[in-house]
Amino acid sequence: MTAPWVAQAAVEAGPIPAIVLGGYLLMLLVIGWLGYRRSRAGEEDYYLAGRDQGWLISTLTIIATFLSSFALMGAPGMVYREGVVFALVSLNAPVAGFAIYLLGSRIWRAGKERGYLTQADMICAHYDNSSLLRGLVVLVGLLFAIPYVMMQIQAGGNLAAVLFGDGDRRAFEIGAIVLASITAVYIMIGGMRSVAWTDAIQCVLLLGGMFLAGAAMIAAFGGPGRFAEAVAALPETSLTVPGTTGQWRWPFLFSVCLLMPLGAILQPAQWMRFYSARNPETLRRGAVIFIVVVAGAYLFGIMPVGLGGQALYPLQRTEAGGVAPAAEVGEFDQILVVVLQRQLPELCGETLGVVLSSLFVVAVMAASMSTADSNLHALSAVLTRDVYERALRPRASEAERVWVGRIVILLATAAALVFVLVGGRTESLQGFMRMIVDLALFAVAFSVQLLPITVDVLFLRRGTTWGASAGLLAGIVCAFLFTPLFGALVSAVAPQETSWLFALQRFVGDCRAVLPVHATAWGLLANVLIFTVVSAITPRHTSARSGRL
Amino acid sequence: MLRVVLIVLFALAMTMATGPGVLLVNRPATVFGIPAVYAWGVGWYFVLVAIALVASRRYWRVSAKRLGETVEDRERGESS
Repeated sequence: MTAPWVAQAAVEAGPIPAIVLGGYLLMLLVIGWLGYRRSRAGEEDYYLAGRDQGWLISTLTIIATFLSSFALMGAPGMVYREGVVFALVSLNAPVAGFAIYLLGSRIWRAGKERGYLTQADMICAHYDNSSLLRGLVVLVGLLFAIPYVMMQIQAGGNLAAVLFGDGDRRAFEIGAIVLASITAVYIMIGGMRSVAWTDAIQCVLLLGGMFLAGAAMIAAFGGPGRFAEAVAALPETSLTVPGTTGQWRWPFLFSVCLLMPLGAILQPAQWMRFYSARNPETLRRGAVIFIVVVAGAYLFGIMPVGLGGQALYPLQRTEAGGVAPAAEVGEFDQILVVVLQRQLPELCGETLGVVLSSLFVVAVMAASMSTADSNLHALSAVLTRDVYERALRPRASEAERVWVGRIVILLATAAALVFVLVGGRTESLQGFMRMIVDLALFAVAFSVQLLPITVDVLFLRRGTTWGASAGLLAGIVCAFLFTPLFGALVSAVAPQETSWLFALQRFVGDCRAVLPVHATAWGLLANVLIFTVVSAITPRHTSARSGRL
Repeated sequence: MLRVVLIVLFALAMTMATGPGVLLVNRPATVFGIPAVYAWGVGWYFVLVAIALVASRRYWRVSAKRLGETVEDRERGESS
């Protein structure tokens, strides 16, 4: 039986969502153009906005890069599936906030003193300019940025599917293409300044969207009392650890909450935001605001949406013993959009409700685009500076490198878009790509592998070049083996039980059964172990001996 | 001494809120209408915010100033 507060059907929205979305996208292009007009020639300006970003813009762009479609679609989707246990993941934000100041201020100093532009610049300068290490750092950047951009494009597709296509595939693909194209265009035009300015506006929109979504959900039930009543009546598995599917046991939850934020802070885009800050005071203020606001927006804004969603649209049990979203919802990650699209017109009247739900859609777009633009922009810096300039054309002029960077943005966007479109049609990858949170966790499993090296460069200075390279390689490989993608690829490539890949997959499964932590933690464990052992038996590099940063 | 207290408190908050400590409240009960596990997380959020505010005022402000001045001095020395 359907609860009395469930709106029975979506209201005919008419042209309002398209007008609101169109206006928002046009505004982004205008800001991109304004950023271009303010820009000066040169890489430092294109990639780091002249290292002169004040505390407000720095804080907003750091928050906007951190809060992606994970925040507005992935998190409520996962709470809708798992229940209250995933709400605790909100507490990953304070860990990220502490890292912003403790790591960020030191990264800022190194960048300012030595003119670094990318992660690899700083890391490789410390480890004797090792080409192997530079290649691995670039690989980590790619392994983080591409899935993260894919995740945002996928959110754009999901949004379009709910809004314009009643969940169909064609609307999904058109939405994904539009989001990817507009994002690529305004980064290519204006560089870091445009990215930061649009991020600032997008940050306000998405934070407002997070808080308003929570308020709208509670209002949809007729107030906090009735909301609490409905939530208290949810099944026991939705109100306790390890959640509905049993995946979120405490070691898994603990490893995700501690390591995911560090991976998100060590991503290339955030690293460049530390370089581009005006001074450490900028990062201090940013860190405190981040801790208070981001965790608050999760706990008091977006997480209740998933819980209320479970009460409005109860989960279905599948024949295989799993859970599926209610038929009206379509995909877990679409819960927020479905709830708002159906409930707001009931609450506020048809026209105002459609306008408000369209503004929420803009907030979701803002969350997706602000992260996609930052990652594409950072990827462009990484490939231009660390690959094109170092390995292909060392004598390329600065103007040439900036243009190559623009082409990289175009190619990376196209690659991510193709992965989303093809992956959605490939059966073996559908499970891996189904939920935004899973894609996010996949990406941070690699970026967090830079943690031991970063700590060594900034604080310890005991590691060797060989130790850093071997540790990072071990971390990347081990983390990959524990991601769901490895399992999906093994079943697609080597389905026979006799193959060595199958045996490896079984071994990974056994390890996971003994210690059920996330792939990030397994990778980090291997990384630290190998880094320590190899550093102990190989000679120290010259820069470490001289104590140079 | 305060620095050590803050570090220990941070470790405690994360362990209690998202680690094994969550098992202490792992029941389908509610506290003021909020599921117990959720309310537990909210409580530890306020502890983490308090740690950040104290650390920022007592330690980060001074170190940020010092770090900025060091870099400025070096830049001034290089330019002269």
